[in-house]
Amino acid sequence: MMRSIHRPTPFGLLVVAALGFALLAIPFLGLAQRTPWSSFAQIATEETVLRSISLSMIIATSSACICVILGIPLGLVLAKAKFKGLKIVRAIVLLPMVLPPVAGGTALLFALGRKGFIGEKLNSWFGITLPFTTAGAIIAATFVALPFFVLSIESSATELDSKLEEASLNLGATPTRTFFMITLPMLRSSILAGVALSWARALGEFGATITFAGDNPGQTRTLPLQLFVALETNPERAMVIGMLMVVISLFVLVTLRGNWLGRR
Amino acid sequence: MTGIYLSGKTRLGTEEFDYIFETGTHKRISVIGPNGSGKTTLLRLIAGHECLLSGSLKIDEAIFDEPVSEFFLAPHLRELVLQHQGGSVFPHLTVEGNVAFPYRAKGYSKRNARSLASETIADFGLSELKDKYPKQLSGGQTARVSLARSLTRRPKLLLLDEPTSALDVESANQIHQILHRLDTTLLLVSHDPVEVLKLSDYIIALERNQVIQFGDLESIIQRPASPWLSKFFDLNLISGVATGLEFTSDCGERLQLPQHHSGNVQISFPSSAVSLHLSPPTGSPRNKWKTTIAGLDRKDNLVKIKLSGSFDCHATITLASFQELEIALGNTIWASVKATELNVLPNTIPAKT
Repeated sequence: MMRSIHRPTPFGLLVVAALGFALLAIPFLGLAQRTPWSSFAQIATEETVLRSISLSMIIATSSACICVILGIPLGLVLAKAKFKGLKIVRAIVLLPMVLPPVAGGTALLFALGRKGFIGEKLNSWFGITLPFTTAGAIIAATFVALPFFVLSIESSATELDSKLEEASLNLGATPTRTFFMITLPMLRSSILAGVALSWARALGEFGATITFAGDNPGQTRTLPLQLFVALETNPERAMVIGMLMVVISLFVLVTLRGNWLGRR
Repeated sequence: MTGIYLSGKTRLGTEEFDYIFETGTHKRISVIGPNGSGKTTLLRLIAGHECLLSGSLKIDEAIFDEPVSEFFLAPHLRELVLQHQGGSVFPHLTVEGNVAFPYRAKGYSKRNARSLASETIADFGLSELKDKYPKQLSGGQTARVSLARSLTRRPKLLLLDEPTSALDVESANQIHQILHRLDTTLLLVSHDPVEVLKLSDYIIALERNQVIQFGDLESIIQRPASPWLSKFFDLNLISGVATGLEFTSDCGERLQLPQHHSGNVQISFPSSAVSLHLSPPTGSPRNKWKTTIAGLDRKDNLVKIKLSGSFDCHATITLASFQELEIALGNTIWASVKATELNVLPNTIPAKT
């Protein structure tokens, strides 16, 4: 028979922990209880819903890819670089995490919107407009998701044993090769964790998207936007979409994040 | 031969380091000194992980680091390897991947790198472990992997930061044997006097972030510049063969051992354990031999005497007993040491050639 040491948790702690869990779990029970399960499959496969699902997947996946490309260098610089103003840079990087997404979306609108100081040039020079396009929705999602990715990289990069990189240099690898052969593989699990987190965050993005990219069916109307619209016109559909999002997010968190973070 | 010349200062945080030495044609160099005396910083400086604030570092006449001329050779371009304490084996690569790494670093394909490394892997007795990951290895195996990896780089200079500090006697001995056979110039940081005596012929001694003495091993043993150094080297090391309780030195002198041993061994004993007599001693010490006084050095109330004859060793006696003996350079004298003072180190490397 397996034996293991059992350290009792104080009873009071268990009670408060249970309360905390209830606060987080009960809303989902409410949703599950009102969800029209009999017509679930039918609503979930409606064309508008399917289009929103695929749009959400495209936007979240593109956004996660951009996070990987931009976030790894940014996280490494924040972890390793020493320069004046590093604190300010870090605060700006993390700002979208605490800022209401609507405020972020507004900021994006004034920078990249049709009349924004960069958006105007994009339009007049290249004929590119971001609002009401999928590209705009991807930018909005990336804006809110990137800090999660950067934070994940930064925290493990600060704990990275710099002697391994030194050893690699001494063994004749150039700094670039050292980055690809040592640094990146050592960051593997936090990159995967960051991908899961930023993907999930991008999937749930609403505020910045609707403010900056607007609500354009087939272009920017992701699952959260569809949910918001349905809430006023078709509550049953709203519940199904809500439930769909719960299931997708739970799946991502349990399988991806659990496995990859647990590897350490 | 790889000659290192360093004269310069560096600073880490609030600590300042001031180094000056030159290794000439010596290939077996040890860096010794108390904890926190700047040994590791010296290695890091030579490897290019720290830089000088003034002065210059030259290896084989080539400038590696010189603030005045704003020259600094990047670490990956220095043909040397710094092996960190603990080995810094890459945890995400197998034993084979680690040993083949220097080839991968040069741009060889995975397959070519592995076939090029296969010989080293076999030489180091790692063939059966080649698919294992570092966390599945013992301390001694990890040390072998790290050393094998350093050598596939074929460095002109190998910097070792306490390569055996965490190892058991047998694993340490394996590492010593490999190091002994190497043709590369070695710069070894060590806390172990026996290791230093076995593996080096040149010493750089550091104290309080400065070089307090450098020179060949013999001269430093004979004239240590500090109390710490004289204590560090207060050790005689003699190789020979043990059969049961008897030890026969390479030159045929016989000594009694405290425990049973067999095969090639080295015995060590502090110089203070040696007593000197004008006539053959009688009574308890069984270990006595005839010897010649080859050197004398007084420090405060102690005299360190170099004895040569069937084997070279040192004796340290008080000034009073030295005066009582009325001896001088070249005199023949009897030396003795109690068997209980002998420390036996088994499976040692063959004597230096």
